[in-house]
Amino acid sequence: MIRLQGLRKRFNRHEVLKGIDLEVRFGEVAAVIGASGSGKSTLLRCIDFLETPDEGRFTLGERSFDAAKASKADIAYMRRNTAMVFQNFNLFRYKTALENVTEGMITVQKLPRDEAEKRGRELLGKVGLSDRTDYYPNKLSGGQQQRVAIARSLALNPKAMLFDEPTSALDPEMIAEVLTVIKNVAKERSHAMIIVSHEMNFVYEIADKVIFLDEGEVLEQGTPLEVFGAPKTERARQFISRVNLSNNYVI
Amino acid sequence: MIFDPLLVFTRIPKVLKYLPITMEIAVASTLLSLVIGFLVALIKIRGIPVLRQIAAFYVSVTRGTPILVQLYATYVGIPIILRALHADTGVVNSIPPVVFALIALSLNDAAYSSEAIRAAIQAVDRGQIEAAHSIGMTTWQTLRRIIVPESLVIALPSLGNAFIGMIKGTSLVFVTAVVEMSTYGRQLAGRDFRYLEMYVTLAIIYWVITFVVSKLLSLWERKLKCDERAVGGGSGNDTLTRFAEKV
Ligand SMILES: Nc1ncnc2c1ncn2[C@@H]1O[C@H](COP(=O)(O)OP(=O)(O)OP(=O)(O)O)[C@@H](O)[C@H]1O
Ligand SMILES: [Mg+2]
Repeated sequence: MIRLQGLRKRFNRHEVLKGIDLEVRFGEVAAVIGASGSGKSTLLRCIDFLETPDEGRFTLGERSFDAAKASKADIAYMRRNTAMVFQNFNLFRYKTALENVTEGMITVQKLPRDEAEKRGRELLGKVGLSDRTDYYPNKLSGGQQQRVAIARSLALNPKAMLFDEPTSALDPEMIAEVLTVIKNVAKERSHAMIIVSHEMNFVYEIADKVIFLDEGEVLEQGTPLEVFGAPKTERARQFISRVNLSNNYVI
Repeated sequence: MIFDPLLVFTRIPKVLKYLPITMEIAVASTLLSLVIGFLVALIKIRGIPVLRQIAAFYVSVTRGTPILVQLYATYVGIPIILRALHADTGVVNSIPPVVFALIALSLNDAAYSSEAIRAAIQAVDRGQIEAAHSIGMTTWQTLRRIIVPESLVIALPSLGNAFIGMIKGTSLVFVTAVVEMSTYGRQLAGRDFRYLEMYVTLAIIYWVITFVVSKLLSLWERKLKCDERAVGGGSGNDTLTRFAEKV
């Protein structure tokens, strides 16, 4: 289980996260939705210590610590056991698809190269890229790059997977392939997953829990049916009426 | 005869005996200058107080004075300083002259390369660094595995030029009493006063070396830019795609 308690983060005088409480069990999928600037990315980035939290308590698996006073070991633990999938993929430029996937296994987990490559090929197969192992990122389409990035994250066997708008930078025709891969990962139920996405149909279908973030606060939290179907607050109602769920989902 | 063309070529083998010294000085100074330049670049990027001011002062002085002056100052100045610090005179006198040459050349070069290294490191996309952190790589692992290789691609052209400059720059180390290729050539010419032929000989040798080195450097650069190569590798198909790209 990953649990955040009272997470606060400010940039200069601007408080972006105002005490977030959040709990996601292993095997559970949580979707974070909210308007632009509500702090969704900052939330994920704090978990991975790409931003330093100002206040709060993090629990991941058996380890629990004060996020504002995280030791080097705490940060290393969080980074090793969570993996972020970025909006812009951020694949290592001078490494092939396979090398991107094996990098963490070799340098962080210290796996022998041949073992890492074997597992790397398996993972690339899982995201449908067996025939692209030796391609450099710039020779892959956006959708393919994002699938490599997902394989790279999976390679670490993370306790928690963090997705920050994984399809926002993609051409429309590539969105489906990436969403399918994420769905398959979710079906395995072996990670806690936190997904920031504007793909509301996808969120509705995949999430066990939807978190509506508004100006740095969790305004609503519940099953997709609860949050989309019967939002309690006016802010959530407005937000949900603006994002159009397609008619396939009659609420 | 005012100019003996034959002599230009017959002396090449003799002078070439001193090529290894020239190249050793150039390679050693360049490696040393990369280490210094890298440290200076990190100091600048991190903005470490005091060290940053010292680094800025060093860069400014080094860029603002002729290398001949720097070589002389090193050769004469370091022993004076050491003696002032009560170092044993015998020990000071026994320092091989080449040490002064290496110090002066590498410090000079680093003042320039530090800027190229800084720019290259800062040109590495933040996203790459965040991705490395997110998969659990430490700062050091990220530096070694991601930042250095990526910035090398960016910095190689200017560092390569610096190395070529260094090969030619070694011809000035006579100031520190080191005998390398040019100095030896001048000594040789002094015997029969055939200086003009000797300088032509030296010019040819330096030109050939720098030509070869710059070819090797551009091969290396192409190797580093592995992502620009066509996929598939080695087959006839490969050449075909490259051809197709050009058309
Ligand atoms: N490094 C930073 N320095 C200063 N302000 C920042 C920084 N990062 C984010 N912010 C601010 O924090 C707020 C929340 O940003 P964040 O990126 O978390 O929003 P978001 O919900 O992910 O939005 P979007 O949907 O547009 O991605 C914004 O007002 C943003 O300007
Ligand atoms: Mg965002």
